[in-house]
Amino acid sequence: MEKGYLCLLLHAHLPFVRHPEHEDFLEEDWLYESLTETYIPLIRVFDGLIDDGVDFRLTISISPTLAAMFSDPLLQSRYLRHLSRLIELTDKEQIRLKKQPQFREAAQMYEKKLKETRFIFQEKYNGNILNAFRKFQDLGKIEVITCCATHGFLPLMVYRRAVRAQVRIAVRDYLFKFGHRPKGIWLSECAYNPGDDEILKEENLRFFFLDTHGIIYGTPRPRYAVFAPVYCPSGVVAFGRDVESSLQVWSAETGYPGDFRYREFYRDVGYDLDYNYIHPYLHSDGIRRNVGIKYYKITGKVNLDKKEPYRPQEALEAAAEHAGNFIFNREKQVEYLYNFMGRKPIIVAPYDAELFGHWWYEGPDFLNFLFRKIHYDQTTLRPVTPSEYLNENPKNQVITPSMSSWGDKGYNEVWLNGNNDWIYRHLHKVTERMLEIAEENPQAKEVKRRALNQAARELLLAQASDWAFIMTTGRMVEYAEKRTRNHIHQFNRLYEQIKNNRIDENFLNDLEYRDNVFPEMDYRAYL
Amino acid sequence: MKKRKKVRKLTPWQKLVSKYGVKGAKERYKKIILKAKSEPETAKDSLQPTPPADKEEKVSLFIDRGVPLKERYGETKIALLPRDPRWIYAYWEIAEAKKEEVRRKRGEEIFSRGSLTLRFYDVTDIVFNGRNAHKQFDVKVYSEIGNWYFQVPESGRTYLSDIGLLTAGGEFITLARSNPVSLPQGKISEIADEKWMIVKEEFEELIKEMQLDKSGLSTKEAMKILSRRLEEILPLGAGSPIPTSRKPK
Repeated sequence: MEKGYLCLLLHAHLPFVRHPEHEDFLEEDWLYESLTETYIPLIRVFDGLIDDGVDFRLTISISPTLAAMFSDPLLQSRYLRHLSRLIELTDKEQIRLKKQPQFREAAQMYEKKLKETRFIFQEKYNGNILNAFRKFQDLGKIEVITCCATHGFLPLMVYRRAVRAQVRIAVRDYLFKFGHRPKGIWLSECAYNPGDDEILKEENLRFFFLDTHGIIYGTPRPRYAVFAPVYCPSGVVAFGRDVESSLQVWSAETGYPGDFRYREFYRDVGYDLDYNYIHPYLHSDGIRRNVGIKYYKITGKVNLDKKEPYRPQEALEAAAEHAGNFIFNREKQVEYLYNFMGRKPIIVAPYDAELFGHWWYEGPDFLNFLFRKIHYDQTTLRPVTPSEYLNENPKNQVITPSMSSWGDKGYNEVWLNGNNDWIYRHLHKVTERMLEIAEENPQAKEVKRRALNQAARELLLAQASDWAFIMTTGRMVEYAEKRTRNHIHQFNRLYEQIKNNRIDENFLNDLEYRDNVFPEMDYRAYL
Repeated sequence: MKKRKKVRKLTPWQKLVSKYGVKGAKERYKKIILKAKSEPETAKDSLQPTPPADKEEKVSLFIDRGVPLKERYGETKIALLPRDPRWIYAYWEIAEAKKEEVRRKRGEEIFSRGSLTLRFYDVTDIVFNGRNAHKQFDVKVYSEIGNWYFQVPESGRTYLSDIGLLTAGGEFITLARSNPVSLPQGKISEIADEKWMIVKEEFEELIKEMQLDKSGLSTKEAMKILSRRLEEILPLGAGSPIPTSRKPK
């Protein structure tokens, strides 16, 4: 009999980036890279586990904007084009590297993996990988939960109805995509403000997640720290993040992904190879960037030009070792806690999904080894989904959690500082205006209804926490500023048109064509 | 770093912009391109990011930062946002019409004789009526439209703020009142009362019960053991410096 539970959660999110008005758009690469390096490799791992009869449990929060991009025909066909080009490059690479045996193993790996990726994407799941996650959920292996509609940062919204709309629209979107309501939600950036749980309850969400201090600093103090979930006063459950297991995987210095045998992220053929040779695989602006083919390993704390060739087999061994180490540490932790608590602890370990594959190339292999070893080699730990856990352990302490987020310093500063604080004056104004036009038009029909729905989409897109985050990190800032300003501007134009009863249909058609997130939008979420 | 996301390598162009600004970068870029033209690429595996040599005419130097937004909305408003246990962000705007209204009532000179002030009230657990705050403190500001970060004396409290004119005689003329913000404690709670609950799926039934502490350890000791590494790992925000070099206008 197990002594504790392990609840692994992957948070899958990207902001809505879709530019049909451009043939080639740089930031759309975020989606393509995440499909090639993270989501399709993960699907490959989960299918393998199922084929081999390995029982496993994983929770994945798919943000509605990412789900929208997964199911968008334009982006699907663009991804296929992108992937086919990459395959063409790896085919050429087999020839170029004939006389460089030190790179051949890696070159062959890319060719094989990418062709398999195309098969999984195109043939197996028909271009829409939500089909895969629906299947895993139906098989009881994965629990798919939702996230705020556009990953809006709830504690900085001020208006309760703006928070509620982010949640309500997400739940409704999930219902259309998965055929039933989600049981839980990942709050964007793990950011919570006491009282947000009341809104989750209104939308029938049973649970959400908090960073460690969100629970530890709750009132009254929690008896079991983060090793048992708590009920908020509303009756909604909060699970708290375990620090130790997070750190082992996240930490840039001491975490697994820094092992010297793993693939080096920053050494990419987009920079390394002859310009005329690589040019067809760059964007139309011709600027050198990462293309995703990398032949070097981390090697050590050395300059990029001192890196040694990547050896896939050696990296796989490292992933297996690390999976074993992770399990060993969790077993010790669970045994200690079990004796101490007198009940089975739950270790909640949430990660950004893109850590597995995109940042840590061997991450999906790590998860593969992890679930296999858990299944075959031990009995202390049992992987669990939050819903399963709650069905078995319905009695929990009641506390009011603390405001918190998983950002740097633990609160709101990453999204509220001198680089991005200018956005809130405008976001709040747009929110007030949205509430105003929704109230004035509770039963809008036809064109006006479409305009109100589009206004809601523009507000939601402007609220994505990604823009404020990018402004803080200082990279790709222009794009984040452009998206914030343009959505606010487009909202304001619609607002004027709705107020004056003079809707410019050409303008509206164009916005609907470009910002086509949430096809089932109902602006009355703001009433 | 707790969070790793979208921190991607800068392109050569972005590096130049971050170093020299857009204008300087354009000049540098031209130089690099000229140099690249005179020195064709050599090593096949050369590591140095090189700008596109023969395709440079395609490189766009236009950076689209979006449609400029209005600076003023012509309203009288103050709003507060919570940053961490000890810091509040505020933004405000005083409309010309509001100033006109105050001048009509209190004389033309009133704005030059009084000073624009944010008055913060501690309104924790009370229905605020303008006079019953637990505590209050004032901060002078110098612009009718502005924003700034304010450190508060105590974490875990609820604050709101009025923006108004503080006259030489000590009278405070309120122009606008903010939303309240509740700040987190930033530490382990002193309250140990335990309440336990069972909630069935779909919230169909709520069973609440009180439970006395039956374990040998007090919850405070238990918490300390279970969360002993938390304090090392989370550099929590209390008392952290203002993150921006901007000054109030």
